[in-house]
Amino acid sequence: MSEGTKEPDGGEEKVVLKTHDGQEFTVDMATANQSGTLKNLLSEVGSSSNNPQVIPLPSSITSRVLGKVVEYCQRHAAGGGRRGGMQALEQFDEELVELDKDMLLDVTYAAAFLDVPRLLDLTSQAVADAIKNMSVEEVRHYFGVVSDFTEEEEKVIRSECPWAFE
Amino acid sequence: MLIVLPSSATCPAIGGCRLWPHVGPTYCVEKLSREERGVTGVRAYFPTLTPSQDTGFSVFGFAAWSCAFLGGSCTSIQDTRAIQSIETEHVKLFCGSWIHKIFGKPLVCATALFCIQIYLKSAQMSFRRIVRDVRDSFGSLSRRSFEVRISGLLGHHKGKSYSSVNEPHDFSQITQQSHWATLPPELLRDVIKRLEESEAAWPSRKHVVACAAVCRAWREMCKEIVRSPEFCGKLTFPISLKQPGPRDGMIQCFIKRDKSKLTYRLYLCLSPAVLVENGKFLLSAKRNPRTTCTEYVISTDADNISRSSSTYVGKLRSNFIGTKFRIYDTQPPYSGAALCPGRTSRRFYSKKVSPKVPSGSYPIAQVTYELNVLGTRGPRRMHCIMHSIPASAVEPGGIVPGQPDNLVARSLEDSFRSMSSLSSFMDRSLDFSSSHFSTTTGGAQEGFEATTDTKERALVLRNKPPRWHEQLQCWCLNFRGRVTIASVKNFQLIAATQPTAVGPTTTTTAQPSGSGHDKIILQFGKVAKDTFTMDYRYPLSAFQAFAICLSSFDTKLACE
Repeated sequence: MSEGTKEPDGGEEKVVLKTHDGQEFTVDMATANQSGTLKNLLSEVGSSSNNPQVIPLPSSITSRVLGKVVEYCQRHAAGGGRRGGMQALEQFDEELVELDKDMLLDVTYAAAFLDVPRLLDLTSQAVADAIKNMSVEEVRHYFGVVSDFTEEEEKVIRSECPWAFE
Repeated sequence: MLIVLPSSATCPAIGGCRLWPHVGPTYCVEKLSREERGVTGVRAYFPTLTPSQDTGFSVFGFAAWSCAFLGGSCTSIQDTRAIQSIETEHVKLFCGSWIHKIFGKPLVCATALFCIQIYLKSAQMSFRRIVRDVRDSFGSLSRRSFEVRISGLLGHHKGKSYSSVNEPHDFSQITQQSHWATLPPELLRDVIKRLEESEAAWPSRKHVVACAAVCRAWREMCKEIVRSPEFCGKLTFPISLKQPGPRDGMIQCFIKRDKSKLTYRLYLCLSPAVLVENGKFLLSAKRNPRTTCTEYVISTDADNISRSSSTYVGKLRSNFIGTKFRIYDTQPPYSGAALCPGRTSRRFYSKKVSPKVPSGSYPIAQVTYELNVLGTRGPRRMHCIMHSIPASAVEPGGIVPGQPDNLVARSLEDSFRSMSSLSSFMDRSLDFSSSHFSTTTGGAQEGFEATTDTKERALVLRNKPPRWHEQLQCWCLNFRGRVTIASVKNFQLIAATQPTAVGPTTTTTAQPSGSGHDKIILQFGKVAKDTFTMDYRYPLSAFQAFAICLSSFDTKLACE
C-alpha cells in the first residue's frame, strides 16, 4: 500500500498521505514540500522515516487524483536535472493535464487544496483552453451549469452574442 | 451558524491522526461573514486541556488544517501563525458551562476553549462545498444525525441574507449537481482570467462574451474580470461601445460606407494597416432622409438597422440645413448632466409604452458646423458640446460619471426592473426643465447654459484648425499616417480650452490650459473611396465618436 513511493534513501524523512478511500501514499519530504499546505503542516509537527506522520486528506481527493498530484510533485521535486532536463519536464507537464473533465476538476481542486501553485497553473490553463471555441450551451453542458437567468435576461444576453460572434 | 462536528472518530481530519492527540473529541466551527466584500471566515472553537506553548501551537495548526479542510485551500499554517500572533490577545477562554448552554449537554471536561478566527481569502468559497465535504467525510456513522443538524442550520441560514451568489438555496441539490458545478469560484475566476488574458484580440475575444452568458455567477465574475476599455484599451461586451475609450492610446476603427443602401458600418481595426478589409463589426447606422431633417439610426446589428429593434442604441439628427446635429442615446446620462429632455423622452415615459422596448431618447451631445467664410474649399469649423461628459473629465484625475456598468443596456434593465423609480426621476427633471427653461426651441445648448450654475459644465470639443501648406497649396492636418486622402470631411477633435462659443455665462470660468487639452480625442478621415478611419480615445465612447463622424458625412448646404 505504498504507491508512488520512491526508492527509500536511508534515513530520509517520510510522510504518509492517506486518502478518504483508505489508500496510503508514502512520499519523501522533498515531494511533500512541493505542496504548500503539507510543507507548512510538516514544519509544525515534523516527521521521521521510522514513524512517519499520517496526514488524512478530505474525501474530494481520491487516490486516483492524489496519484496524479504525487506524480507531479515527485517529478518537480527532482527538478529539471534528472530524466532529460527542463524540456522533458515541460513535456511531462503537458501530458499530465491531458485528462478527462472530471479528473481535470479533481486534480485542479486537489492542487488548490494542497497549494501546489504550478500544478494549479497547469490545470487552470487546461480548463481555460478547454472552454475556448465552445458555445454557451457547450460550456453549460461541460460544467453542468444550469442557466439561472430569467427569460428577459436571457433574451438580452442572447442579443449580445450575435454582436460578439458577428 | 454553527457546524457541529460530532466526533473525532468519524472525521478524517482528526480520525486516526496522531498530530493533535490533546485535542478533545468535539469542536465546532462557525462560519463568519464580514461586511466587506470578498472576505469569509471560519471560527473554530475547540477545547484543550492544557494550553501550553506547545499545545497552543498545535492547536492553531489543527485549526488551520480543519479550516482548510472545511473551506478549501484558503488557509495554511503560515496564515495561522500570523493569526496566532495577532489573535493571541483575542483568544478567549470559555468555560465549559458556556458550551453547555449552547449545546445542551456538557462537551468534555475541557477547562479551556480556544477560539480561533480564520478569514478565508475568498468570500466566494461556497458554503455548499463546505457542507458537501463535511457531509461526505462523515460516512455512514453519523450521517443521519448530521443531516438533521444541517437541515436545522438551513432554516437558520435562510433567515439571514447572504450576498454571495453561490449560496445554494436548497442543499438537497448539492449532490445532484455535476461535479463541475461546484468548482470553487476562486478557481473558476482563475480560469476565466486566463481566458480573458489569452483571448485579448477579436475575433477570439467572443469566448469571453460566451462565458458571460453561461449563468449569473459566471456573468458576475466576467464583469469583475473584464475591465472597461478606459483602462484596458479593449472592447469586449457591447456595452463597451458606450464606455469611454482608453486613456492611453487610441482605439483604431474604420467606417465603411454603402452609398446605395445609405448605410455606414463601424469596424474595429484588427491590424495597424490603414486599408483593411476585415475588422470586428461594432456599430451600424442607416441614413433616413426626412423632409425637415436627416436622421441616422445607430444599431449594434449589422443588417437590421431600425429603431424598433432591440439592437437600437441611439440616433443622430440634423437640422434642416445640416449644420447642427444632435446625438441621442437610449440610455440616460448621469444625473448631474446638463440634460434637457427632448420630446421623445416625454413620450417614452408615458405609461402606454411597453416597458420592454428600450426607446428612451436622451440628447447627449450637439455637433455644430459653423458657416464657412472661406467658401467651399476651406476647412470647416466643428463644435461639439458633450452634455453627458463634464469638462472636468479631461482634467487630471477627471472621470466620466454615470457610465453604464452593466453588460445589459441600462435602460433595458431598468425598464423592466425599476421603471417606476426611473420615471419618477425623469418626472422630476421634466418639472425642473419646465420651470427653468422656455419650452419652445430652447434646445440643448440653451438648456446647457441655463444649468451651468447648478450643474457641471459640459465638455466642449472643437476641431483642430488645419494649417495652410504653401507648397502643396492646401489645408493640412497631421493624421500620422492614419488618413491618406484629402477630404473636407477629415477632422481632428481636441478639447476646447476657451469655451467661447458656449455662451456668456461660461466665459468667466475659463480654465487653465491643462495637460489633457492638446491630445487628439477623435480623428476621422478618408483612406479610400467609401472607407474612412476613425480613431478615438477617452473620454469619448465608440458610440459618441461614431455619431460625431456620421455628422461629417452629411452634406452641409452652408459648408460646401
